[in-house]
Amino acid sequence: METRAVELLRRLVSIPSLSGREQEASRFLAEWLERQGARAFVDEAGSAVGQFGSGPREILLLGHIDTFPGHIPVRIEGNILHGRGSVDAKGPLCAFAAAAGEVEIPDRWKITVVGAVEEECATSKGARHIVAQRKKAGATPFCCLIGEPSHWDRLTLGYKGRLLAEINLCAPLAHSGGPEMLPAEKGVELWRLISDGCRARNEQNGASSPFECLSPSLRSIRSRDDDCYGHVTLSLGFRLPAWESPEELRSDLADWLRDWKPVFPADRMEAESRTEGSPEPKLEIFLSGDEVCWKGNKSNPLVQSFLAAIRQSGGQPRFVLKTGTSDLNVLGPAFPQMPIAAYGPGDSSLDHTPDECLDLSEYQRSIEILKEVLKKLMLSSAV
Amino acid sequence: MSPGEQNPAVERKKVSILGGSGYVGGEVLRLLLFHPRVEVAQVTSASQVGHYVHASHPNLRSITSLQYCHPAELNPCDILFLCQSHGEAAKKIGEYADKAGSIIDCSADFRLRRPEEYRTWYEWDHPSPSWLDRFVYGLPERHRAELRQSRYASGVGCNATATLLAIAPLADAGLLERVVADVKAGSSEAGARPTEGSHHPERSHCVRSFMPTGHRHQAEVIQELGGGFDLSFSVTSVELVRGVLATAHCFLKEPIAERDLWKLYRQAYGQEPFVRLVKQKTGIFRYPEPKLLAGSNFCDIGFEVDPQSKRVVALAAIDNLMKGAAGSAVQCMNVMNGWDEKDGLTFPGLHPI
Amino acid sequence: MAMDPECPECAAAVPLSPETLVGEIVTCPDCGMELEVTQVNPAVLQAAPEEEEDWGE
Repeated sequence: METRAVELLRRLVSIPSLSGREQEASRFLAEWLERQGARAFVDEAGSAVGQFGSGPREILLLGHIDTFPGHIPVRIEGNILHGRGSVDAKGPLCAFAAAAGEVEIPDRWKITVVGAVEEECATSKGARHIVAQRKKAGATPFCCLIGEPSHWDRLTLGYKGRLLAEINLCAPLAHSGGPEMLPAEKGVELWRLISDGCRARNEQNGASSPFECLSPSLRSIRSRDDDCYGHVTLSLGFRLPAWESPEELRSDLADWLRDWKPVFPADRMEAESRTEGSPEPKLEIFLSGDEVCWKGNKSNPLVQSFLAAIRQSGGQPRFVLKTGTSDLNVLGPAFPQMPIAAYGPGDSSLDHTPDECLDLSEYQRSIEILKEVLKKLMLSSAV
Repeated sequence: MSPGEQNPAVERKKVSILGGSGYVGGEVLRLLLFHPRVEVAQVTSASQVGHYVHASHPNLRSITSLQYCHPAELNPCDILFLCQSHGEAAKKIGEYADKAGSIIDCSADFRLRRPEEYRTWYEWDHPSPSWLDRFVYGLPERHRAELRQSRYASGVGCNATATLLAIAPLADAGLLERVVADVKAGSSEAGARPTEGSHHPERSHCVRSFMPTGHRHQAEVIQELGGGFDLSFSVTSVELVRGVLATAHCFLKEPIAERDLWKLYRQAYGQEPFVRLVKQKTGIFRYPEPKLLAGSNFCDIGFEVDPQSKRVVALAAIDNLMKGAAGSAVQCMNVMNGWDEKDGLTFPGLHPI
Repeated sequence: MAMDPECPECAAAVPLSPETLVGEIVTCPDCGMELEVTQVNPAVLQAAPEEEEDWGE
């Protein structure tokens, strides 16, 4: 017989919820949370919110309800649930909801479960709205857990930062037999300058592991010609370590490409309003998606509760640092003193793949761990 | 005015310094001027009579208005520090002993126990061999009990001090078969008198192997730790003014686990006020670092086990003018007078530096 | 704690307050190793889990 928690997961995974189109899923989750006894609603950003208890100390459990695109038929085979979002991140989100609904909440505490919108499309609209509300009320949560897959016996302490770059190069065409670089070749040269620049910064900073490196990736490169000009567009993503903030990378890009005289439009409208038609190559770099690298510390009741709960359950707890970016990068810097980590059942290497699926016994196990963690936290005497 | 001059009501012992114009003399003076139990009476220098002491030791400007007097004008005092060049103290020790309740010598003249050792290592016939066994080797970490009973303490070699403190726990436990020690030393070891080699353009940025074999400090290490192992000892000058780092490759009779090494060193030094064990898993300064000790009396000791062999690398860092000379001398004075061993020696070093 | 527990790396006595909970992370004062309190009364320390690195989110 299907447990309540598995039913929640199966039904939520069955509701498509691409970034920006999460309404149905948020409504469903809010109604489910209400039936478990929470004060539940869909907030102004569109996120599902359920509050258990009404004390001043808040445990914030924030998962994301939107998913990466791609349909996978939802089904349970053996003990495995298949479906887009089963791991990233409805599994973790449902584990939060199920656990919060099953623990007794002492007077001083409340547990807020959030199914946040737009994490996958990099605006993190849901998480930012949650932050803004708390800042306005002057209320810092006691601790925050982000719903992302870590495996039931691991706790994610940190995520790298991010910067996205769209580079538009417009250069006069040249004869392919002549000495002048063709526009497409210039595009490749730009990428080389940028990746060399990142490599040099890594050496300067003694970066020795993926989490410590400034890592550029070339997501796409497209070119087209009109009568006289070649237009090349490079789409880049940067994963940022703790020593390089988005501002510092912006400054580095300006430095590495200074001979090309780049222009950094503030937004797309400004970029599109520029006129074409000059013989000089024009380089525009449009930057977005700024997130700083964030790593939570280990000396706090949240980490302590997890280590104790995992060991109590017969596991060997482990810590992990992820090279991706998540809503932890929004909540962490917003409340720097607040204990924060990410947790959830599932293997994150399945994120965004056609094989995304979640082992339901791992899902159940993570719910038990979460319940134990919540109980320990609410017994905490820390101020 | 120094604190000593400011508080005449507190009962303070009278202390004088013979040979106050050199580096060690200046360092002893700096420490004594801020020592709660003593008052500096006289500082002598045959070459600087009448000059203010702060002319040779500019860090003491406005701290003291003492002027040098001639050694012949030395008056009786409670405690006398001998900070002259090697050979001077030995010549006149009888005369000095008549003038002082207790003597702390900072030279090499009374470090070794037997005159034969001086012939071998210093190529020198000791003029007062009968005094040799009246002096206790001036390292409280090794001779605290004897110092308490003694009126006379010898100097210590700075390179010897770092080396022997690094390896003593292993030597005392009978674990050593052979030790190869290289000591990196700063330029102030050579003293205040300039030489051709110490001329800045010649000395600057050197990594000079200036004594690959036959360094005299080896004699003290062997004397203090017994001859149960082979000792090979070299000194290399590096770009430092103050500071000594001893790196001793210790080849053991049997392998030892890191936990047991910790236990050994902790047992040997856990209660020592001026020895710290430095072997950290993280951070910038994971092992002993001389530059952090400039002006402080600490000896920092670290170690590392080579898991592939029976080798332990033992490390020790000191300020050659402090733990390697003046600091140990003042520490001896504290022990000999039954005072708190840390009196006047509390400066912790600087960071950054 | 009645008696301070030993660091598993260097055997130093690691002082813990009486309120220390199972699962807390502490640092050895002598060798700087990060340690996890896996038991209390009597207190037991073991090396804290290392930080692995993972691709993805």
